[in-house]
Amino acid sequence: MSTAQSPEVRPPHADGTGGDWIFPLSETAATTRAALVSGASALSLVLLAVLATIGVVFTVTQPGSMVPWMPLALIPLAAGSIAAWRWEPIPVLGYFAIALAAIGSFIALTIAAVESPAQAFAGTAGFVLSMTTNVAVLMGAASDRWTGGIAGALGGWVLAEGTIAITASFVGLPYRLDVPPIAIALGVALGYAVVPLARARARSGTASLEQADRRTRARRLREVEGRESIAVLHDTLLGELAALAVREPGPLTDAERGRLAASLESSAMLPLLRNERIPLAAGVGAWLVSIGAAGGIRIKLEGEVATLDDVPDPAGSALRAALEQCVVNVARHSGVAEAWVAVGVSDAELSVTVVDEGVGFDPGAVPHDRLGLSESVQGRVERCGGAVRVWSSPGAGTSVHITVPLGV
Amino acid sequence: MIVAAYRISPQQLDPLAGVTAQAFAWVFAFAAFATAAGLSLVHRVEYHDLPPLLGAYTALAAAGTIVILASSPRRAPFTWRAAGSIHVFCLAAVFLEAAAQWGTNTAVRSDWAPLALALLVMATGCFRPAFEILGMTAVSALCVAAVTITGAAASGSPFPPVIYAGLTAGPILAAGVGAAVFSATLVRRLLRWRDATHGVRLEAVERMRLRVRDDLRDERLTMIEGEIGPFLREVLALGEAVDETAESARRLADQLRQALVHEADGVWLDGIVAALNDDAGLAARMDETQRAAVEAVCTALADRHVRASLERAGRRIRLLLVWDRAGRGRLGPELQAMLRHVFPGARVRPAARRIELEFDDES
Repeated sequence: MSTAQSPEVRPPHADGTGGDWIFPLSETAATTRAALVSGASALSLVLLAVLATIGVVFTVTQPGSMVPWMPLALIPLAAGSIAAWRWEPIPVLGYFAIALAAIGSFIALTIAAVESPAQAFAGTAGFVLSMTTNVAVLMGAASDRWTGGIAGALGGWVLAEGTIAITASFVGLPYRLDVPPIAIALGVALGYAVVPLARARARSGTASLEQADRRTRARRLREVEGRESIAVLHDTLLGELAALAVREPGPLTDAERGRLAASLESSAMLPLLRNERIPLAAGVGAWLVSIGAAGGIRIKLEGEVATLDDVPDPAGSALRAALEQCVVNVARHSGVAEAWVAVGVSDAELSVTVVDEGVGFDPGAVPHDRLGLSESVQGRVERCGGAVRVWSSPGAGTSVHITVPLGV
Repeated sequence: MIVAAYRISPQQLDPLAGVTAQAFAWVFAFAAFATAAGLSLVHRVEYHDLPPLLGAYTALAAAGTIVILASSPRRAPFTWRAAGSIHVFCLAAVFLEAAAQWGTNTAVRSDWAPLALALLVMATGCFRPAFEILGMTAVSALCVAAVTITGAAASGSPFPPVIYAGLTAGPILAAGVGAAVFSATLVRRLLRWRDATHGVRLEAVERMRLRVRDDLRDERLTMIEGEIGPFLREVLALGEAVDETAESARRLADQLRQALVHEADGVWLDGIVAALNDDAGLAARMDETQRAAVEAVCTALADRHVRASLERAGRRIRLLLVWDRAGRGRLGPELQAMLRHVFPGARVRPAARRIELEFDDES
C-alpha cells in the first residue's frame, strides 16, 4: 500500500467548515457543460490554426498547389466557434449569424478545394473540408443550448456537409462521403447524451456523502466541546468533591467558600460554552502564583513569562487552563511547598515547563479514570495543536512540559 | 486562481467527476481501437510489414488498458505516471505503425496511431492538470511530427513533409489543448464554487456549534443539578463540612468521574460499525473528512455487518473494514472514488468485501 501523501488530501479546515470535497449535484451540469464547450471550442480553434498554417506553408513552398486565400476562409468558422463558446445567451438572430458564417466559410472552402490541386484530387473528402466539418460539428454542439449538444452536433454536420455537397455540385468538385466527420458527429452526440446518465451514476451517492459529512462534523463539534467541558467539570466540581471527600468535618474557610461558590457558578454556566475568558487582569504569571498561594505552594516564575499573556486564543485559553491545573496538581499531590514555572519562546512555539521536586508518580500507573492530566492538561493543549510531555517517577518529582504553536 | 486552474486536476477537487468521466474513458478507448481497426482495414495496402503492425496494436492495447484501469474509481486518482504511460505506449504505436508502412505510406491521413493518441489524450481531460496535459501533448506532437516527416520523406511524398506533420501532429495538439482547457475550466469553476460558498459553510458550522453548545449545556446541567449541585450548595449554605459530607462527596465524585470517563472514552466509530476493534482509540486520530468518508461507507453497507479494526503501521494507522456477503447495500463507484481521494493508496476490494486504508497519526 502506498503511504505517500498525495496533494489530493486537503488539510482539515481550521474553521471547521469542510464539506467542500463534495461538489453538489446542482452545480455539476452547468460546470460540465461549460468545460465541454470550452474544451471543444479550444480544440476547434487549434485545428483551424493548424489548417491555416498548412495553407500558408502550401502557398509558400508550392505556389499554385492551394489557393492563397484559403486561410482567410477559415476566419468565419473561427469567429463562429468563439461566438458559440462565449456568447451567452445566444439570441435567435445570433444562431442565424453563426450559421451564416459557417455556410459562407464552407462555400469558400469548397471553392478553394476545387481550385487547389492539393485538395481537388480528394473531392469533398480532402483534409481541409474534412477537418472543418469536424469543427462545424463541435461548433454546433457548443452553441446548442436546448438539447445539451446532441442536436447541435448533428445539425453542425448536416449544415457543413449539406453546404459542401450543394456547393460542390455547382463548382464541379466530386462528392465523396467523408466517414470520419460522421463518426465524430455521432460520437459527440452520443457523448452529450451519455453525460447525464454517467453523472447520475457518479453522483448517486452525493446525498449520503453530504449527510455523512454533516453528521461527522456535528459529532466532532460535540466531541471537542464536550471534552472541553469535561476538563472544566474536572477542574471545578470534581475537584471540590474530591477535596470535600478527604476533608475533616468543620467550618469552611473563606478560601474554601470562595472556591466552592466559583465552582458552582462556573460549572453551572460552563464559561467555555458561553465563550467567556477567565479574567486575568494581572497576567497569567500572577494568576498562577495566586493559585499556588491558595493551595499553599510558592510558584517561582522563570524565563519569558510575559509571553504567556500574548498567546492568542484558543491556544491561549487552553494553555492558561492547563497551567492552572498543573499548579493545582502540584498543590494537591506533590507534598512540597515550592514549584517552578519556566517559559521559553522559539520562532514557532511557546514552551512552558512546570517542575516540582515532590513525591512524583508513575505516569504509566495513573488510573484510567483520572482526568486531571489526560483531559484538563493534555486534552486541552492537544486540541489547540500543542503537545504535552510528562516526566515523573515516584520520589523524583514531576516535570510537565507544554508546547503550543504561536499564531494559532 | 488562474495558475492554480492549470496546475490542479479536476479529480483532486471533485473525485466524483472522475467517476462520471470513467464512462468516457471507456468510450475514448473504444473509439481509439475502432479507429485503428477501421483505418487499417481501409488502407491495408499501405501496410507491408505485419510484425510492427501487430506491435503497434499491442502498444495501443496497452495504452487503452491503462486509460481504463487508471480511470477506475477503485484505483483513483488517475496518476501522472498513467498519463505518461499512455503517451509512451501511443508513441510506440506511432513508431511501429510508421515502420509497418515505411516507404509505402501514401495517405498520411490514414495513420491511425496519431488519431488514437489524440483520442486517448482527450480521455485524460477530466483527470489530469491542464499544464501537464499540454506539456505531455506538446512533446508527443513533436515526436509524431518527426516520425511523420521522416516517413513522408522515405515515401517520396509529393508535398513538403512538414505538411504531413501538420496533418498527424495537428489533431494531437488540438486534442491536447481541448483537454487542457476542459480541465482548467472545471478546476476554475470548482475553485470559484469553493470560494463563493465558504461563507455559507462557515455560517452553517457556527449554527451547528451553537446547537451543540445548547444541547451540551442542557446535558451538563442535568448531570450536575441532579445531586451534585444541591449537595454543594447545601455545604456552602451550612458553611461547614459535617460527618456525612466526606462520604457523600466521595460517592458523588465517583459518579461524576465515571460519567466523565465514559464520555471521554467514547469512540465515534463505535456507533457506526457492527464491531470495532480499536483498543488504543486510534479512530480518534482521523480528521473530519476521513471520518465522513468512512461513515458514508459504513452507512452504505449498514445491513452487511461491517467490522472495523485499527492498528498502528509504523507512523501511520491502518484501518481494515470487512463486511458480510449477505445483506443489502453496496460500495458504489462514487464511494470507492471518495475513499481513494480521502485515503490515497487505499486498497478497495468490493469483491472481497474488504477495504484497507491508512492515515497519518498526527492529529
